[in-house]
Amino acid sequence: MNYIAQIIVIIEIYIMLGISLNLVGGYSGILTLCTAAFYGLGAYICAIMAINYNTNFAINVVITCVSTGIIAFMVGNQGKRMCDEHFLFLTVAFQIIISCIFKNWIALTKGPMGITGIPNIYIFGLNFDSSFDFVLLAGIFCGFSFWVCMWIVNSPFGRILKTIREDEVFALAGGKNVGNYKVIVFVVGSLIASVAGALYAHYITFIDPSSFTVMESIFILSIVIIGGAGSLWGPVVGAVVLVSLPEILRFVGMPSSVAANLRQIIYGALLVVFMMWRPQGLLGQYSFQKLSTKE
Amino acid sequence: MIQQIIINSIISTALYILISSGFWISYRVSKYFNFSHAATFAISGYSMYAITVNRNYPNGLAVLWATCITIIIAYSLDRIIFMPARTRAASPTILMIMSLGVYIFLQSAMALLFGEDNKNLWYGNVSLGIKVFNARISNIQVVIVVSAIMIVIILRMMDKCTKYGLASSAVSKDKELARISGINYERVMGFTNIICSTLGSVAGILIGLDLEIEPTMGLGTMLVGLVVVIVGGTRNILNMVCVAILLSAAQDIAVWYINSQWMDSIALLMLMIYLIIQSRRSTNLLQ
Repeated sequence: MNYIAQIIVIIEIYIMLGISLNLVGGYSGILTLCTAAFYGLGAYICAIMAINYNTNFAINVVITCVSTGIIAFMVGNQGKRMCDEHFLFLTVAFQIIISCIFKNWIALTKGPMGITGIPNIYIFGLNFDSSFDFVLLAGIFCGFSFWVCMWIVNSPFGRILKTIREDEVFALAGGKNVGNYKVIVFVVGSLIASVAGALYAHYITFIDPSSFTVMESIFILSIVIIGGAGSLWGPVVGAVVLVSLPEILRFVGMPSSVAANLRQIIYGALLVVFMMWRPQGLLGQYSFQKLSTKE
Repeated sequence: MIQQIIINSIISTALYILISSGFWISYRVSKYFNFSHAATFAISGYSMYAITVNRNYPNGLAVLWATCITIIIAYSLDRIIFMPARTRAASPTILMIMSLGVYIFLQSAMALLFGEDNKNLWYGNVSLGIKVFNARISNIQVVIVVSAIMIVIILRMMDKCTKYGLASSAVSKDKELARISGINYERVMGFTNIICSTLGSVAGILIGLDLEIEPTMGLGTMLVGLVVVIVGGTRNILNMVCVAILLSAAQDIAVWYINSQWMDSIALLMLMIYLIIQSRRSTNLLQ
């Protein structure tokens, strides 16, 4: 049962990450590959605050959100003038630079050795130290992220995002400040990813740079694509399918080195197959084909 | 010491030209960054490893074999996966995501088949290399530099003097107009694929002979290719050469003053700065 609870916690964290990218890529049509960078920033900021300053989880989350939000605003503000392809490359560059900082700024992040001994979460005197407690806590955060996403996409703001996704030039012609909308949704997405990182850090109690590389961003992209971009339940289905898959391989009795590579082979194959035959994913509405875009 | 830094910069520049030339041609014609091309470096390296380990094949034959395998795999993937998507007018975003999927698939397949440890293609004696102005350069590194110069000359001549070069220039400027004018776009893409995989194969084998091969070697080459191609643009191959020189100089200076661990960051910082300046310039022009 403890094993199943652990899987559920990881699924909930990846649902949050999927929601984060789905808001930006699925609803706004801005494909990015830096979700893992914000995920890592959230994890590292929370871990450093908890270990060095012994601060409460709630305060850590607020500081994480503020810091990540400022960084996301800086990146998004530069990227709002770019075409989609250049913005994607900007996010790839940002992701790899952040990964290098995690790996090489040893004084702050302890480099490849990682940060160990991250304390448990205490909220209102309750100690969340077991997997079952984390299922509840991560579930609350996951549910809140889902609600935020639902509120955004069903609001007038969300309708403008969908217009930008389908036809950016039409949105511009309608007098909408497309750049500002992109920055706002990018910042909101990064906040959700950073909170997921904070949860991950406190759950695993150990973080290292290898968990927040560009391959992790590609995995999160796979969750959105396979589950369905532009759909509220897409990231949920994608996370359940892609996180459960390695666990099924474990029961087949394969050695871990073979299973790890086989998992990546399956992810790569699924990406290709879905893009060929069903680019909108299992439940999605957006198939990454824009009518027109700012060049 | 300064002579060794200059020689190292020249070798790095040549390596970046070898790596980026395939990405450059592919991006120029197809208008999307083909991540799957990064896998050709490892495919060629491992193909050569498979034929030379425990066998006494001459190196020339092994290189030919590895190149043929790489071309066959890359061309087959293009025809089976990318051509149907292009025929259905898939957007560049879809094609880029597919190329990412293909890269992950191939990288993991090679890790599964050959293991994740590093392998060396060089089985000869290790020598001190040639002395050039108090600096050392190995024989393989001389071959890398000469190959890079030859590739630039050949690509430039091909662009100006051959039917393929003219057709690919036409397609890169306006695909629809080129199609209307009678240029077979898929044939041009097929030729492009063959040339890219040949260039990738040569680069992968030389990297394997000079350094070593590993399943994830494509990621590093992908980043270099991304920086050089995007910053240099696709109009002129000499721009690509200039960016390769700038990139290797910036990285070698950074290694000298800071630390070699920040080399990737330097390259990508260059890309970020270029993209930001380019976007501001476009906005100012529109205003």
